[in-house]
Amino acid sequence: MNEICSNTLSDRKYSAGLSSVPDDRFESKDKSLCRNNSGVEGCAWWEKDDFQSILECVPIGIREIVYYFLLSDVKDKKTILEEFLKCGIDSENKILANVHNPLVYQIFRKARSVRRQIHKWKGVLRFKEIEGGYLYASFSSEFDIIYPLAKHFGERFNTERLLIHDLGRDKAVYVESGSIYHIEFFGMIPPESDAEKFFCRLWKLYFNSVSIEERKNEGLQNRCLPRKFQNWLCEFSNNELKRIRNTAQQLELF
Amino acid sequence: MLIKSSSDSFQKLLILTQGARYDVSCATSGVDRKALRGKLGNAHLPGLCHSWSSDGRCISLLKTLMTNECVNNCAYCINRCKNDVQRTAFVPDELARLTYEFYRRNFIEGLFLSSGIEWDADRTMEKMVNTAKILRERYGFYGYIHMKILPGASDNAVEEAIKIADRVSINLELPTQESLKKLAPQKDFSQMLLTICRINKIREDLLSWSSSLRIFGAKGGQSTQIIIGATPDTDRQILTLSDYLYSKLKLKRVYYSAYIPINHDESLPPIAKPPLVREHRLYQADWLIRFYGFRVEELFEEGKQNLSERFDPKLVWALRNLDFFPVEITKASLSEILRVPGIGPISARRIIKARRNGYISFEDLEKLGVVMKRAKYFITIRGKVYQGVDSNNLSNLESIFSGVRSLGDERDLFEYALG
Repeated sequence: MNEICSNTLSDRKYSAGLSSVPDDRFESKDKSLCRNNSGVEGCAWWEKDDFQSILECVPIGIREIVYYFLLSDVKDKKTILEEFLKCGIDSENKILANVHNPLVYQIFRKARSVRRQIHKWKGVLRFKEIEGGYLYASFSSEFDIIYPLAKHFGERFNTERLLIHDLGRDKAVYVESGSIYHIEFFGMIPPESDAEKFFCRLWKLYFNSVSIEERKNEGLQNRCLPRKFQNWLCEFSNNELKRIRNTAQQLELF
Repeated sequence: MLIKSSSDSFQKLLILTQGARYDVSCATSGVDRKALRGKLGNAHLPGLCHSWSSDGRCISLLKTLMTNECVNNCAYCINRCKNDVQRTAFVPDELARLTYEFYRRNFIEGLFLSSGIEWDADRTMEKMVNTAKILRERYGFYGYIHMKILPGASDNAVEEAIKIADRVSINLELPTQESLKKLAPQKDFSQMLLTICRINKIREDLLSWSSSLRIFGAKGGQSTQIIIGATPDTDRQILTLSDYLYSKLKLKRVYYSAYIPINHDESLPPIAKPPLVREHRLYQADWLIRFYGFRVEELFEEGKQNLSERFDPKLVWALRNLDFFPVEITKASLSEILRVPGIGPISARRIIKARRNGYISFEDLEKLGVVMKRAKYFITIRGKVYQGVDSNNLSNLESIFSGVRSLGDERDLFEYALG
C-alpha cells in the first residue's frame, strides 16, 4: 500500500479472506437499502432508511432536523426525542422560539453541526480508483453520516460504482446507479490503480501551485479546514509534498 | 492515455495554474442542477469547497488557463507579452481528461477556464469552448463550468461559451477608464462594460428561445474582478462601480483582489505588501450592499473617499449613527435589525421567526447566532438594555471596540458565505 492511503488504512484489520474477484470482496447484507427513484414516490430520501419508523411519529415540519439529530453522537437520543416530542413543537419556527428550553436547543444545535459536517464531507471525501474500476472512499466521523453522503455521491457519480467506508464504525455501503446497498468487507481493500497515483500527484501539484506566497495565511487555512479533515487528504501528507517539491525543482520551476 | 509523459503534464499544469491563481473567483453556488442518469455530476446549490490552500483560500474548481501565451501587455499581469516566462498551452482533450479525473475523485466541483489571448480572442475562445464541449459530450460531464469571456470576443464566441457554461465572467480589472488605460493600454473600459451588457442580452435571448439550452446557459450569471491598490482609485469609486454592476448590469458577484506586485513597471506603485485589510473591508462593504440594504453613500462619512481600516464598515456606520440605536428587538423591522453590529441576515431572520412564535430574551439571542459581544450595546428587549451596558453613555464605544479587533468577531458580516 503506498503512502497516499496508508494513513487511512494502515491500522485496520483487513487481512484474512483475500479473494481475487473484486465483486466477491464485499457482499450485500440487505438487498437494497435505498432505491433511488429520484423522488417519484414523493417521499424525502431521509425518510427511507433506519429511522423510518421513528420519523413517522415526528411532525413533518421538523422531520429533517430530527433526522440530523438522530445521526448525531448524543447518548439516549430516543429518550431525548420522546421528551422533545411532548413539547408539541411542529415547525422550525417554533424550535427557534423555544431555544431557551435546553432540550430544544440541544436538538437544534446538534442537528446544525451534523448538517454542517455532512456539507464538509461532501467536499472533502476523496475517492480512489481501485482495481476492478471501483471508486473507494473512507472516512470517519463522530456522526453516523454515511447514508446522506452515499445519497449525495450516488446521484453525483451515478455512472460510477462507489464504495464508501466509515472506518470508525466499520460500516460500508456500495452505491451503483442510485441504489445504496449495505455491505461488509471481508478481505483487503483492492489496491489502487496505476492511474490513481498519477492523478493524485497532479492534484497535489495543483494544490501547491494555486497558493499565493504573498497571501500566506495558514491560520485561516486551519480554521476553514480543521486538522481532523486534513488528515484524510492526500494534499496534506508531507512526504508526498516533499516529493512534489523535488520533482518541481528538477524541472527548475521553483 | 492522452497525457504522454508525466514530467510534461506536471510542468504544464504548474505553469498554467500558477498563471490563473490570481483570479479570485471560486464560487460554485447558485446553480441547482439535479443529477441525470447516465451523466456524471451535478451542480449543488449552496456550492462546495473541496480544499483550502495555504493562503486560506478555498479550492473548489480546477482553475487554469488554456494558454499563458498573450498578445496583451497589461502591467499587473504575470502573463503579459513583455514578460520572459515559459509559455505553454493545454490541448482541449488533455484538459478535459484532467478535469474528468479530478472530478470523479471528488477533488473539485468543476472547471474554471481562463486564458491569455493567443492570436485573437475568438480563436482562443474556440479552444476553450472545445474543451468544455469534450467534457460535456464525451465525458457526459454535468458538473460546474466557469468560462472567462476574453475581451474582444465576438457575439458568436460569447454565445457558444454561454451555451455550455454555468457562469461566465469578464474581468474589468480596474475601476476606472483612466486606470485601465494606464495599466492595460490594449483594453477599453467602456468596451468591457458593453460586453457585460452584451452577455446579458445574449444569455436572456438564449434562455427564452431555446429549450435545449436550459440545462446550462450560464444560469449562475456573471461575475467580475477588480484589482485593489494598483491605482489611486478610491473605495468610494470602487463600491459605486460595484453597486452599478449589481443593480444595473445584474452581476452576481464582484471580486476584489489585493494587488500583488509581480512585475517591475514604472506605471505600478511601489508597495511591499498586498493591501489585504483594504480588500477585506471592501468585501464587507460589498456584503452590506447586497444583503443588508446599505446604500454606498451611507458607508462613507461626508467627504471621505475610503473605508476605515480600523473598524468594519457596519460598526463605523453604527458609531456614526448612535441616534438610530438602540433597536428594540421585539418590535423592529428586519431592515432595522440588520443594522445592528453582530446580527447578520441569518440570525436576523431567525429573530423574526422566533419572536412571532414566542417570548424572546437576551440569552436566546446568543443561541440564535447573534454575536452579543458586539450587539449588546445597540439593542433593547422590551425596553430593557443588556445587563452591564450603560445606554446613556455610548460615547466611549469606540475605545471599547478598539480593544476587540479580531476579525473573527465580525463573523456576522460573512454569515452568508459561511452558511
